[in-house]
Amino acid sequence: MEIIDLDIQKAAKGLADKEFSSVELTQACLERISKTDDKLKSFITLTKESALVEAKKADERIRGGERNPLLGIPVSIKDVILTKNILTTASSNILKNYIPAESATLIDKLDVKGMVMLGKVNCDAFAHGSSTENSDFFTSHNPWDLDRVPGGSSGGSASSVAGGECFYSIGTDTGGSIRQPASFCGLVGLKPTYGRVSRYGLISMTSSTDCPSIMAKTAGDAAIILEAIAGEDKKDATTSSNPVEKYLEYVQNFDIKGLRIGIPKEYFIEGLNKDIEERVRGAIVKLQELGAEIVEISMPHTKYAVPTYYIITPSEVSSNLAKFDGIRFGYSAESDSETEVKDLMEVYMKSKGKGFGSEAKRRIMIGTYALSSGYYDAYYLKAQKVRALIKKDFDEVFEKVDTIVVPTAPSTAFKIGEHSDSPLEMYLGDIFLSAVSLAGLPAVSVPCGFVKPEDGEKEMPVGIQIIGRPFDEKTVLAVADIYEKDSGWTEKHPQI
Amino acid sequence: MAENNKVSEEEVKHIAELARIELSVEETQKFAREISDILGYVEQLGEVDTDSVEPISQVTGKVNVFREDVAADASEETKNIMAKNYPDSQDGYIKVKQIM
Repeated sequence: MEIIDLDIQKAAKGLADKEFSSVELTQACLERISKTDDKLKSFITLTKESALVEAKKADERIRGGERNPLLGIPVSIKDVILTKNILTTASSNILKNYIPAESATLIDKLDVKGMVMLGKVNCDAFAHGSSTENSDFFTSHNPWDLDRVPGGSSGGSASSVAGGECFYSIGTDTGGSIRQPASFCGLVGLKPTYGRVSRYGLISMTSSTDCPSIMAKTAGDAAIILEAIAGEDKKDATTSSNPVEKYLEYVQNFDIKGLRIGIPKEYFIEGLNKDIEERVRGAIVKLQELGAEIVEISMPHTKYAVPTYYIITPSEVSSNLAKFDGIRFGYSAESDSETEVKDLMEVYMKSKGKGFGSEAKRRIMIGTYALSSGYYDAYYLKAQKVRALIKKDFDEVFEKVDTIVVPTAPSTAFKIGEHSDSPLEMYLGDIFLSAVSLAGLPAVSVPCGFVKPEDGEKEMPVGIQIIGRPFDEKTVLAVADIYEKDSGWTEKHPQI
Repeated sequence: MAENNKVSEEEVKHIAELARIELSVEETQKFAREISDILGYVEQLGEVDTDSVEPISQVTGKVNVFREDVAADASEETKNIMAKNYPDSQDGYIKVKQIM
């Protein structure tokens, strides 16, 4: 096995046993990046020099006897997460020269642990999309088939981890942006409960559903990372004061016998690829064989999750993107020699008009409409009421079951440039993901096999999604871990 | 749901002004179509009886987290990086165009 194919736990053991150093680990990743990133296009910014400095420091700490599983492990960071003094673009033209004055809280926490940051990775601009095709710079590629998307919006996180360019990545999940690319790239993607991890230092998209999230090779690795980045933060008033748990310890000692797993009939619907359904149902049978109890459940408001999400998201996006007005940072028409502006109003109008890409504009327009005088009650308020009912569906079901298992995505990764704009397919892509986001619940996508798509020769990964009660990350991770160890899917690596 | 879900180009222009975003003629036409489509799609929420439902915007049950309202000074380093991002400045202050 190559060094870059190790997971965090094995790499940390190798560091502790002095089989290799963090500098060697980092160099192995950098070498891999130099070979693969022309094809994968994961990275927007490489921080090679500071990575080697951090690796050297980590080696000193390890020599000094310090042991923590993230010390000296190379990581990539989605480019919507602020990194002090390091270019942070949100994959957008409007922020293509933006240098943050502070780091996100989660970056500070990982710094304390001794992470080695290799660089910032691509995503859909402002995290608006599900393929990285909405990046204002370039599209990332799926390591399992370079003609296909890695998913999104955290697509660069997925391609960098699955491609062996780093050991894990931190992305965000607002409506599926970590779970769907994890499914497309054969990885473990954890969206924690809303408020479990501080949002301070994220370039906000939808403030009421944004979650910093984890792209990892295994459920155990995700548990380690969550333990490092979770917790209350005075800089984000929505963070929870619930104590951070010993997730890895719990996962390692978990017994699945008697665990009740709910299977909602509303998630196994027309449009779900038959081969994928077969893999997902196979995984459910496996969980039953391992000792879980399977319970048929119903969540009647499921079909309203997508229309609800389609109002709430652009509304909050329009509010959050209002600050990119050419005054304090980012692209400004005022300093653009090709654009003439006569007053402040024109600075606003032209900075946004020229600076934002088409998807950001679309969301700003829809959101501004839904929030505007005369329409607020009919759209935004109505959506917030339906949202309450969607949450209630989950609350009621969680009185009868401990977790819910559903597909992560209705298809495997699609070909670059072939994403259908058909409303039904758009709807299907979001249906498995958006209810969980609206209800703020923790969910993990874990690989459950491979399927050969109709339009290709290469087998592509498929994921199941395990959804938990609020702040019950430990159970969803434990179920993922048991399934993963039994199935062995996470041990497969793509050939690039 | 609102009866009138056909959004005219005039309305799009009004919304664009509210959002302070300049749109081309093509964009104005495109958004008139797309906003109408999306409003048509979300109309199905009208089927849901929400008369006795309280709206939620926050899902973890937290309410009113307060802190002292005191200004904190940033470090010189922070101020310097922030200033580097200003599109236009003078003596460390942001410079803006005239309003009137």
